[in-house]
Formats: sequence, structure tokens, C-alpha cells
Amino acid sequence: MVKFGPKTVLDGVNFHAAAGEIVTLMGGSGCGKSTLLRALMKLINATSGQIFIDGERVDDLSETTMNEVRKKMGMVFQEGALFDSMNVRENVAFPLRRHTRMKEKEIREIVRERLEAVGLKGVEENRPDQLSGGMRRRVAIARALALSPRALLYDEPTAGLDPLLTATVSDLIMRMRDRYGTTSIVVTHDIDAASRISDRIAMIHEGRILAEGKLDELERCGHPHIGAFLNAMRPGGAIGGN
Amino acid sequence: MGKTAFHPIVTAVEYVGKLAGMLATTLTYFARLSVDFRMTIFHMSNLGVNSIPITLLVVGFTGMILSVQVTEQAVRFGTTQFIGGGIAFVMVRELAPVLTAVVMAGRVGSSIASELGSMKVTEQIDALRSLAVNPIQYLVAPRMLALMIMIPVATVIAGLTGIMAAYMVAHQVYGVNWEVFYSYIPRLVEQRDVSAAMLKSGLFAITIALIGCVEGMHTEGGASGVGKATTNAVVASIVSIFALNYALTVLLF
Repeated sequence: MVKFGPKTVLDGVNFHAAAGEIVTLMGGSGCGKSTLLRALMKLINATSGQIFIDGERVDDLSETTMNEVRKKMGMVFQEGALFDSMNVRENVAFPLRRHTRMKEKEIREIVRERLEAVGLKGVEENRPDQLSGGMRRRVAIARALALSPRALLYDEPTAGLDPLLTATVSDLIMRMRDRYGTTSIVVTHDIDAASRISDRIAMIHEGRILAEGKLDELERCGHPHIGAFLNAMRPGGAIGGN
Repeated sequence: MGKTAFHPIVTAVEYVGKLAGMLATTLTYFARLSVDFRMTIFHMSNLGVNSIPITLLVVGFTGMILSVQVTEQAVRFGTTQFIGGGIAFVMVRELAPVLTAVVMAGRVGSSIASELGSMKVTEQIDALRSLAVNPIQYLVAPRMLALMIMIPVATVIAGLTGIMAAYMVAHQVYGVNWEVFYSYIPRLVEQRDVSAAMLKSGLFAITIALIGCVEGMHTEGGASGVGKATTNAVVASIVSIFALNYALTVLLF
């Protein structure tokens, strides 16, 4: 359970992701998707319950001990959250400089390789404010990948992007799994992106997971809220677009 | 009803708790020598060195104004030998540390709060934590250490500038020569006055860094929240500097 003051944001959530799996968390705004992601990374503390990462219970760890767990994970924030006092190279190199004793030449090579993996070349010297939204997110993915994490958490990676960039970022999430074997947990509203990348989709509503499965399984589950949500998000639906 | 009545007290206690918590954590990093010295040097230049010119202007003009007021009366009563000593006494004990700290609170406190506030609302601080970097170690400790070094340095330079500016006015306007101006400075200004001024400016530095960092790292509400945090940081720092100065003056002298 996660509570903010008197308000319960997550309650009775039972959720897991297997190694190498891409699990998508879907649901309406304010239903607790991003809160669940933040609780997994221990950026917020769960009020009660247990969280396990790679078999280790993390909800009761100190910040210092949790940092060791965080080195095995990466998180991609909605707008990228790139450090605006640094250029692209420094952003991607940041975790390597903080947590390894690599030589500058090795760091440069890893930065180049990670940027290449997300389809970016020749932007190393650019500042974050000189990049488009899609490029910022790709740099954020490259930064999150720097320490070769076993799991990546994506918070609305396609929000606000045009269909082409949405497809690019979706492909990237799958490629990162195929190339590095990372477990991915993706928060999104985008039903097309979710159906394209997910091994499993978890539908969240009012802080609870209503159902999990493939998109067609969710469509057939008969839950009225899930049906309404998926219909609304479809192209031509109340919220979806073409 | 009861909640409304106690709300300001609860808020104040919470705020003091945030300050104390951040100070304790930062001091732990100091004790472990676990501070990024490269970042500290960067902030010494960025926050400290770049603030010295404005500090010198403010304290220099204050010295000149003080000299106009004091020298005129001293010439009238034939006590010109006390001008330098009196001005240096006030400059070292109070004006240099307090004015330097107030200028720093305006320039540096606001800069820290707005920078960290922007980082907070754009999730950069969460990004740091997700990259297994403690924000207090990376953002707060180097800034505080940089100010703890640079504000006392700026205070010394500002104090000397204030005294020299006062002498310039006394000499140029009222014809007081250096021997007369200087004669009572060594008798009135003691070593412990200089030590107390350094202690004061070190504690003011901690106050400015702490309040700027707490305001910045607890910013909420986008751009308007950053503006509010910046204003709060300056106001709270200046009020705290004056309150702390009173307490220290009573304790030290």
C-alpha cells in the first residue's frame, strides 16, 4: 500500500515481472501507475507491503543499501530528466563516472555504444535543451543503460510524442530487451505501443490491478472498466486518435 | 479548529526538522570526507568568487557612509584618532560578516534554491536517486563546503575593503592622515574579534546553504513553485542571519 497523507494511491497491488519480460502498466491518469514505478525504485516509500527486486526485499532497505540495488536498475523519466547542466556525453557518462573506476577512454566508448544503441550519433556535445522530445528520451534510455542494468523502468516513454517517434521509442524498448536482456516495466497510456511491446499488460484502476494478460485477453475479460478504458483509447474512441 | 490553530507551529517544527535532518546528513558526509571536491571547487568559483565584487561594493559603500557620519562628528569634537579604530571595530565585529552574508543570501541563496528547485520539478533529483547517487552528497555537501570556505574569505576581503573605503573618505574629505586613522585600530580590534567574525561568517554560510538547499529540494508546483522557493530562501536566510547574529553577538562578546 502507498498512501500520501489521507489519500490511498495504491492498495493491495500484487505484481511481478519475470527476467527479460516486458510488462506494461496501463490505466487512467492518477490511477497509481507512476507511483508503483516510483515505489519499485524506492523513490517513495511504500506505506505497507513488501517489494522484492531480484529476490531481495528492498522496501525496508536504507537509502545507502538501496543504492546498491538501484545500480542494477535504470529508470527513464517522462521528460527524460536529463541533467541540464551537462551535455549528452556527460549525462550518459555520469553513472559510469560515479560508480566505476573506468578510464575516460573506456567511458567514452561505452557512451558512444549506448548512444548508438538508441539510434543517436553526433549529439554528444549537445545540451538537453538543444534536443527534441524524442531525442531527450532516447538519451535518457542511453543514460539508464550505462551501467548495464538488469531492469529498466519507463515512465510514460511515449507521452506527447508523434506516432513516428512513438513507434521509434517502442521499438527501442524491445531492442533493449533483445540486445541487453533487460526486464522492462513500462507505464503508458498508449494502447498501440502497449500491445506492440508487451509480453503482459497489467490494468490498474483506483490503485488496484484489475487484470493482467495480453491485450486480447484483457479485451475478453469482461470487466466493465477495462472494456470502457480500452474502447476509449482505441483510434476513433473517446480518447484515442488516428 | 485545533488543526488550524496549531498549523503554523507544526509547519515551523517540520521546517526545522528538515533543516536539522539535512544538516546532520551533510555533516556525516563531511566527517567521512565523502564530498566531491571537484564540484566543491566549481561552486567555490561559481557561487563564491563571482559574488565577491557585489559584496565589496556593498561593504565598501557602507564603510564610506560610516566614515562620513563618524569623521564629521570626530572632527567636531577633536577625537579624530578614534575614527579608524571605531570603524574597524564595527566593521570586523558586525558589518563585514553580516553584510557579506546578506549579499550572499540574496545572490547565492536564491541561486541555490532556484537551481535545485528546477531540478526537483523536472525530476532531475529523482533521476539522481535512480542512478544510485545521494542528492545530499552530490548537490548539498559541495555547495555547503564551498560557502563555508568562500563566505569567510569574502568577509575578510570585504572588511578590509570597508575599512580602506572609510579611510579614503576620511582622508580625501576631512584630511585625516593614515597614522591618525590607524592609531587605535590595533588597540580596539583584537584577535578574538577576527576569530568571532570568522565563526559568524562560517555559521552564516551553513545557514544560507542549508535554507537554499532545503527550499530547492522541497520545491513543488512547477515554475511558480521555483519562484516561491527562491523568495522563501532569500527571506528565510536574511531573517535567520539577523537572528543568529544577535544570538552570536550576545554569546561571543
